Amino acid sequence: MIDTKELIDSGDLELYVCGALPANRAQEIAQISKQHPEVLEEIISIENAYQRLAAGLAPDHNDETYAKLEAIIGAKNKVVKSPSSWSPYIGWAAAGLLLIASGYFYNANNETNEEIVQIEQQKEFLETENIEIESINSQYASTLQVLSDPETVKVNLAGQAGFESSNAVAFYNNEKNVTYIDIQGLPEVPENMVYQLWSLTLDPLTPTSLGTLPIEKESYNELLRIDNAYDTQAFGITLEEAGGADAPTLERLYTLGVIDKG
Amino acid sequence: MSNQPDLLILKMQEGSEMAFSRVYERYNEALRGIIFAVVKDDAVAEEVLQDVFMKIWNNSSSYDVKQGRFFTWALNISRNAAIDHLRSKAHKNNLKNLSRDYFVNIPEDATDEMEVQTDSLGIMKWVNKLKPTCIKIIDLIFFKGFTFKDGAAELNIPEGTLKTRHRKCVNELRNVMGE
Repeated sequence: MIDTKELIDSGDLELYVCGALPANRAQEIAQISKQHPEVLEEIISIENAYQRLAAGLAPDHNDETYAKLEAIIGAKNKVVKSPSSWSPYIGWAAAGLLLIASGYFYNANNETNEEIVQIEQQKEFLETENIEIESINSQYASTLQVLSDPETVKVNLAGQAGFESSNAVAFYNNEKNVTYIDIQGLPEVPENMVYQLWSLTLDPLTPTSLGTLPIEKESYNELLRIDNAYDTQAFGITLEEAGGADAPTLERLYTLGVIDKG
Repeated sequence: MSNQPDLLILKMQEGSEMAFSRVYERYNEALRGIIFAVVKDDAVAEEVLQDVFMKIWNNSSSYDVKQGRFFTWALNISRNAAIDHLRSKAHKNNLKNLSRDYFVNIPEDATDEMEVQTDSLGIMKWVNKLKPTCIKIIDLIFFKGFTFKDGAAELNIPEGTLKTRHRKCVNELRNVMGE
């Protein structure tokens, strides 16, 4: 177990934000910060202080830089403010005035249309973002509901011989027939291999596959939801060849945890 | 206080210009300040900043949330770009600004043109409250991008001492900022 207070006091988080740590240590801290909100909070405070300090040094500027970037990366619909160029011509012939004025209104109209397009794009973007956040929220809500259920049992899956640094955590709910599993403590899956989760009954030892776990590294950051209607007594995770195995390969048993009935 | 916008960063990595513009909004001031602390020239800082954001856009996929903070990643790009500029030919033709360390000299420069040139009034009241050793440490580790090993060697103090002093300095900074 990590002593987060010791980590916070160590000065490593400040160095982490500055990019002054070796890459492997930075990776460790990135990982720890996902599991320990108090560490993440400290990192955010340090980062905010440094961002404010740096921003305080920034010279005054106009917005030209972003406009140039936008032009380079090919952003469309750049709004160019056109000068009100018709007024000097007002004394000229009525026909000229009409021509120029109509030109102006044509431009103004175009500009307005462009602005509308921009605003609509932005709206669309925000809506997508909103939908995603809502769906993440509802996932969290249903996860939380299971985790806070008194029937849910937390099972620590400890690293087994040869894989001592691995670990995983399962949340098992026998009533709702669902198990959540956190596999952040497993190393990245080697190519053409896959982790497989097993529900075990002891005495006699009988493994039942609960399926293979996703291999995308992004899914390591989430609690994975797994349907599990079995009367599980222990969970095990093995590394198997792509596609999974019918029976667990015990030489590659990474983690194992027995449900504490106490 | 808020966390980094992971979703926006992801959208940017997927090629959304809108997301990029919001990442720009969020980080441009801080990165501009870091660059300026190195190149010490408004116009050059602006040029380098543009370069930095092009790199952020073009190489966004190389940012990996498992390796560290987005700010740290962008900070590295900014420092490297600013230092590259100093080493470049264009700069060597115009060496007159190189003689002083900008961040370290803020307190004594308070009365000269630097103050007018930058928005340093706000930062002044923070920096003035920091101990000189803190200013030196923050300059090396944050603005100059020394690793703590190199920083310790530069300051001739043990690595552990640098770590704890740096933490104390950042804490001081957080206090004076009234976090």
